[in-house]
Amino acid sequence: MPMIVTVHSWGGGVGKTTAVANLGYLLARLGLRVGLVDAGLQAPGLHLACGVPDGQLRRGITGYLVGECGLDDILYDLGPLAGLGGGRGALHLAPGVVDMGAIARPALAGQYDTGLLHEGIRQMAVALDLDAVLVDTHSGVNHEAVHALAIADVCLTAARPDTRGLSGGPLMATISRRLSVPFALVLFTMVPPGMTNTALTGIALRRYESPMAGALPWAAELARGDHTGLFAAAFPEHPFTVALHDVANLLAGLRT
Amino acid sequence: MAELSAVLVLRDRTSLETSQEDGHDLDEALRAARMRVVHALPDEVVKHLTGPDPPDLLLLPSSLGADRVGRYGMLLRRGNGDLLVPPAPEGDPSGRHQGRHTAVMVYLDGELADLEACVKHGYHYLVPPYRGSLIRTQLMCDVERHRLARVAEEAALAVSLRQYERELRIAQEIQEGFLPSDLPCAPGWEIDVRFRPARAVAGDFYDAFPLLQGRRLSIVVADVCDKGVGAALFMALIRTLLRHTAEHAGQWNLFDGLPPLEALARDVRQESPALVPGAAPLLQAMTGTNRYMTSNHQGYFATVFFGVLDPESGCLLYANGGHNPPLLRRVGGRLERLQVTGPAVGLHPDSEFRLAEVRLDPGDVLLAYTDGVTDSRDPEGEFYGEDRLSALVRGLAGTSLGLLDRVEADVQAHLRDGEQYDDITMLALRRLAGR
Ligand SMILES: Nc1ncnc2c1ncn2[C@@H]1O[C@H](COP(=O)(O)OP(=O)(O)O)[C@@H](O)[C@H]1O
Ligand SMILES: [Mg+2]
Repeated sequence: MPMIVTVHSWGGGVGKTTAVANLGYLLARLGLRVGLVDAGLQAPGLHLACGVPDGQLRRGITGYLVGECGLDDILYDLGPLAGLGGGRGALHLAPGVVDMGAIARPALAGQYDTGLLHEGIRQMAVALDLDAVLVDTHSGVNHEAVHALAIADVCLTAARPDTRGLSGGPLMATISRRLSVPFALVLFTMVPPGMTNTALTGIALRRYESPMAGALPWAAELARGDHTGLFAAAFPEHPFTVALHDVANLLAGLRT
Repeated sequence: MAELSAVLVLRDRTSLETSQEDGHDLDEALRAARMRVVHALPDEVVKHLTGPDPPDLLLLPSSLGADRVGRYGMLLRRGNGDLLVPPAPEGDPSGRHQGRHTAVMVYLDGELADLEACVKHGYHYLVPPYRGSLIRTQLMCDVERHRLARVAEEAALAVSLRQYERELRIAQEIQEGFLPSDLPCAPGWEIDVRFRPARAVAGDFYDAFPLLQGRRLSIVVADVCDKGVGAALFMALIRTLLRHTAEHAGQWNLFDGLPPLEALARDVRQESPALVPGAAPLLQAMTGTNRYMTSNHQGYFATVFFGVLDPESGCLLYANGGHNPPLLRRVGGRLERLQVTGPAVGLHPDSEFRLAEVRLDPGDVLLAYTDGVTDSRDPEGEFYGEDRLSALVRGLAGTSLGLLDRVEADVQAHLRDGEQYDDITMLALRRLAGR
């Protein structure tokens, strides 16, 4: 079975989706076969962070969940786009689709079995022989997120080290503890210059009762949104990429 | 006209000898009316009425008092059916016994007040001077009146019986509507059922329907406490609640405590069965129905076995609410029992239903049944019992239909001519070999 990493956050817009896409890419570069799952049904966007434009996808996870299509119909190979070479490393996406009907129905009515998310991930892992699956969730406490946490081997809680980011700490810690997530880690994002890792590690332990997986610095290029696609592929030397690379190494290490 | 007979009841032996008494006049008048007269004392009345040739007329002295007269009258009315009218002798062509009826009359003997009291209770009376022709006419009228009353009574009874049967038939039809008209099929699987209510309507039911757009298949076997119409009404309700809830269940309602987060948590490295597809509909159906029943219909409950099958993998997720454990016969003949995972549905408001999971491999067959099977008794009162059932199932390797046929035949053989007391319901689910 692959390692399931669920990336979650209390607040929205903290850079969670960006982290998932690029972490997946870096793990694939390390030679892992990686699946990316967009479980942020309410506002999918993982495909964008991977460089797949909106118009290119017809079907997504919601279609699978409500039984309109099978898993095969939605899986998208990001290998060529990510420029992955011939090695074992691979990157596949189970995307969400930005379509009113596809999103509104399941998201608002809640009329699907969340267990299918779990089953879909397992089937995807088997079909693609995956080593790791990264699940991007919608922020806050919601059904998909709780399920994704319940099946996770690793929970990465993304948080900005600001007042809002810290306020969610205790609740997120409680949820992952009660769900018995084997590894609960904090990933700080959009870290402003001047905050030390030592200080952040302390905050992680105090507020989240968890060790810190890494700290991703604020990146003006990301904030401006003037670039599309996998950031880590375009800016391999960027401090953001370097910091995320450490996280990738950490996760790859947890696998064994 | 045939000769009529009368039993003339006297106050005591002496009353006839004192010739000027009323009894004497009456006796003569009856004979003048060409009637056969027999004398009797009050304590001989019953003997005459129950004898092989009951009289057409029973004449009681008013001196007996209204109460005792009433008692004889009642005896006759009741006897209408069972006590007094002896069965028609075989080959009695006269049909005399059919519609045979003894009229009761009271004649004045002693105080007028006693007679009045009897009349007030509706008894016909005779007062002197007695004349044969008058007595005869009066008697014929009375016989005719009784005959008509009886015809009317029988007609009313027949009508109400017909009506009852009609309504029962309607109830039966409606109940059938609460059972699935077809069983869903999944490639590589066989499902068969057997449903034998002990009465016109049953408290048992089974159900089978697709879930999650056909990705899963639900099976239910349940037994509502009680029998007959009451149970049938609740069967309709519980079946509806279970199925409707399962079909319309969405995600876990995290904010309703369903299930508590811990129910989703993995057990060491084993992931929680609550996370697999079908878990939410299954548990919501059990818990929701339980809650509805306990808050709206206290005192009614049902044992429920509810399974959700993944036809692809063969995994059967189930909850067993107090139901007798279904038997899982492995391909080699080994038996497993799908034990209870919670109490019967409708017993306690806070019942918890655990989920369990089992896998059916090719050739395995599951038999879910109600206790009507094991509780069937032979005429000596011996139960069919679980042991007999297990032994039989262990030795049966064929199709699910064959399995049901054999079990049913075996239970019938056990019953012999005994009555089936309880509803019998069975559902067999078999994974075809070579899949
Ligand atoms: N480290 C960062 N520094 C600056 N901006 C960032 C950073 N990470 C992400 N962003 C930007 O923030 C916005 C929200 O990021 P996103 O990954 O979609 O967040 P989330 O998934 O938490 O809602 C995007 O425009 C993204 O480019
Ligand atoms: Mg996002």
